[in-house]
Amino acid sequence: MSTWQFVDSISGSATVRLDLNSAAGGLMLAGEPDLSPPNMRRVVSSSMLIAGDRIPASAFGNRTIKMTLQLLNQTSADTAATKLQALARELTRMPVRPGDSSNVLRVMVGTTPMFFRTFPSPDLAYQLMLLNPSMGRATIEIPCEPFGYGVKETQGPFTVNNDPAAGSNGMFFDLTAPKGDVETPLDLQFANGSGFGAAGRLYSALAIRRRGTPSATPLVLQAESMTQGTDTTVQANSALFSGAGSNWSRCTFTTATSGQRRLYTATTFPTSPSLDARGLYRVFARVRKTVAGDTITVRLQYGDTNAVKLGPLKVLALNTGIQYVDLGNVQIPVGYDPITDRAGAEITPLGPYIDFYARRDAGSGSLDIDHLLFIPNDDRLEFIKWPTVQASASDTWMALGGAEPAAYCLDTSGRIRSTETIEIAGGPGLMISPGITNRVFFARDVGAGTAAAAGGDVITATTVVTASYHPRYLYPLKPVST
Amino acid sequence: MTLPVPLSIRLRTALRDVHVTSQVDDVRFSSNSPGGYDACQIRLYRPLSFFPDEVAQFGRLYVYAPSGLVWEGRLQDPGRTAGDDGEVYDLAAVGGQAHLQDDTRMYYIIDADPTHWAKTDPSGTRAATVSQESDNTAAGDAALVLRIPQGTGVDGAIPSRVVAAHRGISEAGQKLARVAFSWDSGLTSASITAALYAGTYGVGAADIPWSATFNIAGGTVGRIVDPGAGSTSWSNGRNWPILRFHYTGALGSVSADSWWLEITNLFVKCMMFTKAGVEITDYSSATNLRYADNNVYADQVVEDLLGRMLTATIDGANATVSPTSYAIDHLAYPDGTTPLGVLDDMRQFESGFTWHVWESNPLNDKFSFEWIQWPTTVRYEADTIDGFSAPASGNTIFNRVAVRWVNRGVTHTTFRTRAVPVLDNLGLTRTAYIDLSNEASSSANAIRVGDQFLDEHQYPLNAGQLVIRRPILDILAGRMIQPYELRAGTLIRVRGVESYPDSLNPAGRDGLTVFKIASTSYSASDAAATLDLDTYSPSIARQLRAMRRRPPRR
Repeated sequence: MSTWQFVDSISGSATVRLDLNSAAGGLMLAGEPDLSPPNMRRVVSSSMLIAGDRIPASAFGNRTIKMTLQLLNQTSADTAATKLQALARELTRMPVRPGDSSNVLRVMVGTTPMFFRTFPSPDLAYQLMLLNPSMGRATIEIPCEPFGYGVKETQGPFTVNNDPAAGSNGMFFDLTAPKGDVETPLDLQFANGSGFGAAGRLYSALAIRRRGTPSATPLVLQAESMTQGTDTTVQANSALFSGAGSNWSRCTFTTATSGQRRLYTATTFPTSPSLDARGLYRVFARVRKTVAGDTITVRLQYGDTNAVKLGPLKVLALNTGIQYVDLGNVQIPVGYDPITDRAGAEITPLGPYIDFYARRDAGSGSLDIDHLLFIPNDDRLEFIKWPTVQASASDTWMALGGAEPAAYCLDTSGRIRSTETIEIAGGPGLMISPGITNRVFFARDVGAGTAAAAGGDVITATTVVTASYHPRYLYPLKPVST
Repeated sequence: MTLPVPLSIRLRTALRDVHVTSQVDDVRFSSNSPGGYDACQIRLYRPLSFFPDEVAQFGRLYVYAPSGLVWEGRLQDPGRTAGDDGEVYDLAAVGGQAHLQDDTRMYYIIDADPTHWAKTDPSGTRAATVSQESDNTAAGDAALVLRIPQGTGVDGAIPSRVVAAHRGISEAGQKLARVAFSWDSGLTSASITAALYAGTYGVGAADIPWSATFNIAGGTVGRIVDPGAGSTSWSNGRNWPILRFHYTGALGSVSADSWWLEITNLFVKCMMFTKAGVEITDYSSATNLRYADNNVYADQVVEDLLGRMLTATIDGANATVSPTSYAIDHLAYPDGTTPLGVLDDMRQFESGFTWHVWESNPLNDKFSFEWIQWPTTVRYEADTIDGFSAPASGNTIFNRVAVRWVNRGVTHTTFRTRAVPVLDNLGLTRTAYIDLSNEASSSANAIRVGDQFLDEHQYPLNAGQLVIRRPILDILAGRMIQPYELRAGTLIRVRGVESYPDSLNPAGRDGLTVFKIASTSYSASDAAATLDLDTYSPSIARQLRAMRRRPPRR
């Protein structure tokens, strides 16, 4: 017999609030319940200039679960009334936040349960049997969130290295084959001791790649691997910078302080053409000034061999901390990108040539350049400004994905703690797709706050991240393991 | 696979900072040029029984896309409603450009209007007069005339004198930087001394940067603030320029109508600020022309606005202010103005320029600003297949313009003409009318404004719209962008309408295939951006706004 129960949470150990399909409990399903997937809402664009319509946006509406319940084993009309009252209270349970779903309906047809978040606004009908008032029949239509949910799934913990050249998990980690039918919000928990609460506030970037072969996504262009331009030379190894051997470059501005090409690629980036290179990237340069008060401005140029596309001019902060500076967006390939040919086959893009320009408007110092970091942002990209003060070293930090990203602090008992305001820029939050590899990119500190307050970004830092999500399903029959 | 519009909406106040995307039923936002981020509306479902911490007047509203911020502004009207739609906050936010109307004040940059001078000094000669002669020369030049009339008894021991002062600068809270004029007198006399004083209103003695005894040969005077220049200048902080003459001889009377001091080509210039809010004080620099000339440039005025009036809200230090070329010889607002009003006037002088207030700088939470030339390179390429209209009314073509201006107490009208074949061939004359009032008004300014207007109106102004519902190419960035990323203040090439090879190498809008994007408006409910091309499409709301901005006639 299938299970139909209102429960208190989406959990394997959820507490039953009301059983809807139990003879002993007094309510039994009658007839065939309707768990049809939700209707789709579409924006349709059409004109007489083009055959056919386009659908530039679509989204599922709410689901409506329809069922009929038979009152059973009631000794009198009074006990029947009590049972109906229990049903009514579950159907109209008030949400903590108006507008949210307020109850959870657990349905288990096979061997694993599926959960539906229901809203307290059902349509109701009731057939009273006058000859036997304890044997009535209630027909209910319950609006729910569009998808059925599985219980919480976790992957990790992953130790994410803050060095993009690290042997493993260098500013990313992979989530393999998440469960579910459709994409679902990804929640991340950052373990204690990860450095959150740093002086000057960490400013983390989160992004995701969930198509093709995410491991082939271009991520880093080391300065020492680029052609050294005006007044710029490769320097001997430093543990402060990413990469092996001579692993950074210094621009001294000795012969020219004006805007000159300091680093550039002799070939395209990435070197090998790849479908996985396609996309939009937010580019950050990891740099350091040697004299805090110098006025140094940097810019990225990209495109064909002349690299004619101009990124925004960025003036570096007045400190000598190591910091990432945001150089704007770069698309691969540059220019028109139909993505597929007429046959529907994806066209392989060649990367652009990359030039790094810098000028020193005032001062006498040098500019050190470690690498250029390419964070994919054609899907999701958000920035989280973590608090300065960490109440306890054992606290953990949560970053919720989805349409409404949020971030907060938990103590060791899982209680949410009041903190300095956490700010989130960008978004929407991260979503993951089922059945494929999802690569999450995590740049621990791309702001200038820690550089101003202390030493700035630390290449050897690690962050322990545990990923979790609730798989989401369209159909009410849920596979056992996927 | 669903295709929800990937926008995220954030509300920020001092008490709360949250994303509310799933709690709104639509988002619409717009930008315009000049202007920048314009307006944004969302409907937020919250109970009215308590006021949510994230909703407050002047709180911040952000709209993000994966590629970055696409709109930012301040909540202005958190309208609360309860009705068929439940309990709803209709939130209306405005972009940072709204701060340009936060401050209305008297404002003097360079004042060439002698009517702003008046007789002062009650202890002076009672019969003396200060008058403005509007058309002192055939060219219409005005004069400020100080006079002790014939028959008036005079005494050098008092001394007998006539004093005229410009009060506006001190009342505006500004400081004097330059005074220049030509002078003449009705007689030559060693007993009558003309002088320029630089005082501080209500405080102590004045500096006397210039004085000379009466001489019918007259002369020309130019003095600037400079604490190091000794007796020919004045210290920074003076705000009360005074012109006067006084008698130092024996007791007697004025025997003829020759005791007059005539001041022409009178200019008063005020201290100015850099865009970073630093008062410009390099008075003696050989390269500093800020106070050396009897004019200002629009970019200098823009910088002064940023550094004087907008320091709390606009990131002036990092603003882009492109240089301009027209020398403005009169710009004074004795009846008060706003930064927006001044910028509107600057665009009349420099119609090839525009300005925008965009997103805030995270380092100081102030909005970014740019005063730039309209680009001459195309940024976007799009098709007409989602909707296009291009009504270009002949009503916008003019070959003659009348510019009304008031200066030196007289209302003038300057006419300018331009060859416009489409009108000339039919023998038609269409005359537009521009009112410069008394604020940015001079003969030269009227000519400039009239010519700039005719430049813009020799071809029909398009007032069309283009709808975009798909990714289009951003040529400058070299990437495909979504409709919600489109910004006003750029050029767009529209394919699917009559074109010609030169449209691939344009010098600006051509009215055929290359258009200015005057405004953009994006609505998530239909996933479409609507662009106003070249100029705003006609709407009642825009007409009302234009009427509200228009100053009363003076």
